[in-house]
Amino acid sequence: MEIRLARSDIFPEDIRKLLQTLYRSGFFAIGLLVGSWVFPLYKEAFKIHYALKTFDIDFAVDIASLASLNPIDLEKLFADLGYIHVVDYGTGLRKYSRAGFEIEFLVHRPGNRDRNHASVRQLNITATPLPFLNIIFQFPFVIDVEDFKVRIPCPEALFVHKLIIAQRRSSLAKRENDLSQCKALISGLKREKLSKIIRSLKMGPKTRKAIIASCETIDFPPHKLGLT
Amino acid sequence: MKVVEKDKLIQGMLSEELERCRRVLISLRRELSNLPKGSLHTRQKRYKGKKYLYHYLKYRESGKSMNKHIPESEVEDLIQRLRARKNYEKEIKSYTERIRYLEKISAAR
Repeated sequence: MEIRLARSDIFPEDIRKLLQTLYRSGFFAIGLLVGSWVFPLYKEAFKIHYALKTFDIDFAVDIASLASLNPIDLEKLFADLGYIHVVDYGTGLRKYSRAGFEIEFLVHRPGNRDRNHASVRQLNITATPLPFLNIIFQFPFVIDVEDFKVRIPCPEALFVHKLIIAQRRSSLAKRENDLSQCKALISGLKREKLSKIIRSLKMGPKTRKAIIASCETIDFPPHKLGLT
Repeated sequence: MKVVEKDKLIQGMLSEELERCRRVLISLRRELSNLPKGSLHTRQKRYKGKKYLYHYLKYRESGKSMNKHIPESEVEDLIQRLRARKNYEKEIKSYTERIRYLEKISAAR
């Protein structure tokens, strides 16, 4: 689904250039903008308000769709925009930084907890594996921001993903940020889509418990998700 | 959301950001240590009536000014690495300033 926005001055110039470059490269055929920088688009498209933004921008990559993509050298594109690579020597993850602003990639982690980074050769990047990330690729939106388009997760998918991962976070600050974002997302949720996403999940007791715990924290009735 | 909760959230995000900046700074310094210092210079030399370009890297080591000959084949790579060093130095400055600012805020809260 595509939404055309009336305003084009949603992002600061640096981020606008970055998104424009990624759009022109074809990245959004397999990637999504996620994290706090998706909220300015949610605000315009769905009237969801969440003001806090971080100094990093996250993109999710759908590994399953990569086979159909022509290789893109993202590292080269970022270097041309003035970003330098920064290796996290603890995890081996490569990130890209410019004036203290970081670009990071995320991929779905199917189960193996030991992997702290994944190489995505077709894009010449490394990414952080995150559990349940496949959820956010359900019903994505394409947002048309005048001269470029950005693909983002639908609020319902992001909501469910955040409910689950919030309880798995080792960092209290990250958990609170996840839950705070969930609370902000409530106003823009469509019940039918939410149910579809929940029904599509192969949910074990641990995941179910995590969702209910998060719902209780943000005062969202779990029965609205079909959970009791 | 209550003001107290929001304050806690912001405080958490600020301390996360401080930690992130410190981690990145360590990585940036490590990258910088692998890049050459100094500036590239070129002299024109005459030998047996022919003109030659002589490239050399000028840098300081233990307080002394040093010159190191750079073969023509390595000049382009060196230019790239010197440029990268400048970018890393700029980035380190950015992170150092931000860390100082975040530490100041953290101490005040």
